[in-house]
Amino acid sequence: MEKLSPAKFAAKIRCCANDLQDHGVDRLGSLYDLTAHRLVRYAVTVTKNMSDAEDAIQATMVRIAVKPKILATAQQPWPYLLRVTRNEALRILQKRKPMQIFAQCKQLWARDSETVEENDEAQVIRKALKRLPTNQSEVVVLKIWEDMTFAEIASVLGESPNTVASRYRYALQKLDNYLRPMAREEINV
Amino acid sequence: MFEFEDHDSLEEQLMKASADSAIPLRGSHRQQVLDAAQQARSRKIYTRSLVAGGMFFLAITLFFGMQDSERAQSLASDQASGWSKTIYVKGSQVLGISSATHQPVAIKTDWSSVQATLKQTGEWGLVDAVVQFRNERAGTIEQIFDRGD
Repeated sequence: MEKLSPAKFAAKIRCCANDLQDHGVDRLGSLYDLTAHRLVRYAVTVTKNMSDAEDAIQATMVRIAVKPKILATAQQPWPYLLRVTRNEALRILQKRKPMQIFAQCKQLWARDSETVEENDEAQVIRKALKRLPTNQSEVVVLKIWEDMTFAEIASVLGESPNTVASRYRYALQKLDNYLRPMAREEINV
Repeated sequence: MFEFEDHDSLEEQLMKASADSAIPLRGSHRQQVLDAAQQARSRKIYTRSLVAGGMFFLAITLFFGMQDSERAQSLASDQASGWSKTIYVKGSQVLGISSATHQPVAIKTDWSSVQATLKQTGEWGLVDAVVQFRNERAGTIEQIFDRGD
């Protein structure tokens, strides 16, 4: 899929939102096609699992379908969509909190025996991102994969740009620590 | 696989990985989302019409309820005991003038009734005066007045 510039992407989202407002829910498909694959990449960072991320996307789309005007008139439509997705993802996690304790125990146990088998670089990076705290990994995803500024990320997360910048720095430090040993292994081989 | 001297090269590596970072969604997810949105939209319309209907019903009920209470109030004022029989007034609005004939209550003028009335008022001096007045004269009050005693 071609990578659009942030301005073009925002304009397309606004266009879809206007279309949705004028012609009703039938036009939601175009917004879904435009944004879903990027939204889910971010949602997975928050929820840490695919089914919850998909639920968050669904909740986001339903919210937009019911009130398309807010998205159409938003100053920054893409950060707004990401923020809605984040809120929905957090709401889903909140609902599943009692079950989460068991899931976390399972995850901790799995981490000890975890071995990176894939040679796929993206898989390795995704696994490294999964090991970061959520508030750091989402900053990395938004900064690098969504090409957003610290100010834009701050508006999505509801934090100050300084906080976001320091989270990004810590995240890179940790990723460096995770990935550097693999790089050394590569060289030794 | 990974080669980096500083964070810049790490960022570059992450950026390169972004092209392969797409996560495929379930095939049926799109349709599921569209169906859910459709349902949410129709639910919203249904709720909105329900609220509008409820408001209309409430307004109608209030309107007729107020009219009924006004009518009941004017009827009650005609029938209420102790109400002035001449003019019926609600606030500054005159509701009507009574057509009922005024029937004055007959005044009892026998001595015991007069004494009982005076005793009720607590005017014991007057009671004594009336007793003395009665003892000095013969007959009923009317007879005394007729004679001019």
